[in-house]
Formats: sequence, structure tokens, C-alpha cells
Amino acid sequence: MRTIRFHHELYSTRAIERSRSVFVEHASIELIQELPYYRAEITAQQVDAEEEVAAEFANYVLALTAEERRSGGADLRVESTEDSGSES
Amino acid sequence: MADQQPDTAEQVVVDSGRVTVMLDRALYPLDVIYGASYVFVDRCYVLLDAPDAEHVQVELRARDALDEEALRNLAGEFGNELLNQAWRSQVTQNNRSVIEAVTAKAMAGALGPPDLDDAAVEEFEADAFDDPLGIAVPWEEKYGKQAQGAAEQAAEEQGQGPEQGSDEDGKS
Repeated sequence: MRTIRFHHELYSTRAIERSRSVFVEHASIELIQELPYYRAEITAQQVDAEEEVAAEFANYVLALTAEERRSGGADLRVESTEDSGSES
Repeated sequence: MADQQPDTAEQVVVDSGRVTVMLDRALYPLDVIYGASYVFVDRCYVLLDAPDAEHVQVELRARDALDEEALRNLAGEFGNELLNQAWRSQVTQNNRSVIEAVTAKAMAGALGPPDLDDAAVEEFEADAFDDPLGIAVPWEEKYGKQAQGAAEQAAEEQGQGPEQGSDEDGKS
């Protein structure tokens, strides 16, 4: 198992969750909130590729966070609107 | 650790296949750091951390094994990319008003000329124009009463009663 800590000021929670759903085919990822960090415990399906999978996961979270910031959080707004629409 | 001593004031530390760059947030806003990191994700594994409120720590680990000199070069390239992103951000901010004006004009042009329905709505919604000389006032409205009064006065002078004139008015 590999552990990566994502600082909550630098990484979007939404990006972490979305990345986890993308990587579910390659690893099981458990998220634990330990402010100011989110700790991701990554267990890859292929043990010899665990380090690489963990590093790729971190890169993916960073890229999604950067894209969210660049779009001004538009993705977050769209998803929150959809959520509220489905609730009503 | 291969090299615990930072190059310049806690800027760059090379450590077992990875290089750590400490950045001052006052000099490099977060958007700039994200932009530079985004450029490097295809070459490196990038991890950000915030050891304190004033700094952001960027850890770069190359996908292929690199020696210490190559790692320092990598950190240098990252620093260059930071400056590039900072400059781009500054230019974008300076030209924001121009970009918005051009975009608005392009959007308005893309809508095309107004059709008849738009023109009708615009005509009805338009405010009344100024008419200081009363040109738009109908003649009957402007001179009708005065003309009627003058006709009655002329009839009285000719010895005809006003009732007859009013009857005529009523007929007309």
C-alpha cells in the first residue's frame, strides 16, 4: 500500500473523488480526511506497479484540480446544479 | 539525502531521484504554480504541498531515472516555466478589458441583423422622441378648438346665434 497526502488548500476534493473513480479499475483507493490533508491509501491490483499507479493518481488529481481552477470552478457549479435538480 | 543544502535560500533540494522546489506564494500565485505543474505532468510526477501559509512546495520526480545534475536542470526548467506562466497571467490580466470588448462584439455580430419581429418590438419599446416644435401633434388637436372658437365669434358678429353654430358642429 502507498500513501499520498493531498493538502486541502492545493487539491480539490472533487478532483480527488473524480480521480478515484477513474482509477478504480487499477487500484482500490481509500480516502481519509486528516486536516489539512486528505490521505489517500492506494492499493494497486498489480503490486509491482503500485508506486507508479500512486504517482499517476497524484498527477491525475493535480491535473483535474488545475483544470477546475482554470475553468473558474465551472465543473463544480454544473455538478452542484445537477445535484440540486435531481433532488427536487 | 544526497544534498540537504538548498541552492538559494530554501529554493531547491535534490533528494534520491526527486527534486523539491520551495516557492514563495507572494511571488508565484497558485494559478501560476498550477499552470507550470500542468506542463510538467507528462514528464514528471508532480506533488504539491503547503508546509506553511507563505510557501508552496513542489516535488518533481522524473518518470525516468535522472542523475543529480539532470534533476537540477529539471528544477531550472520548472522555474522558467513558472516565469512563463506568470508573464502569461500578467498579460492576460492587462488585456482583460480588450478581450472582453472584442468577445462581446463578436458575440453580438454572431447573432446577425435583427429580423422584423425584433424591429417591431424595438419600435414599440422605443421612447418617444423629442418634439419641441409640436410637429408631431395632429392639426385637429393643435388648432381645432381655436378654429371652432373663431368660427363661433364670426357667427355672433354676423348676427347668428351660437346655438345654430353648435347645431352645425353637432351635424358635422
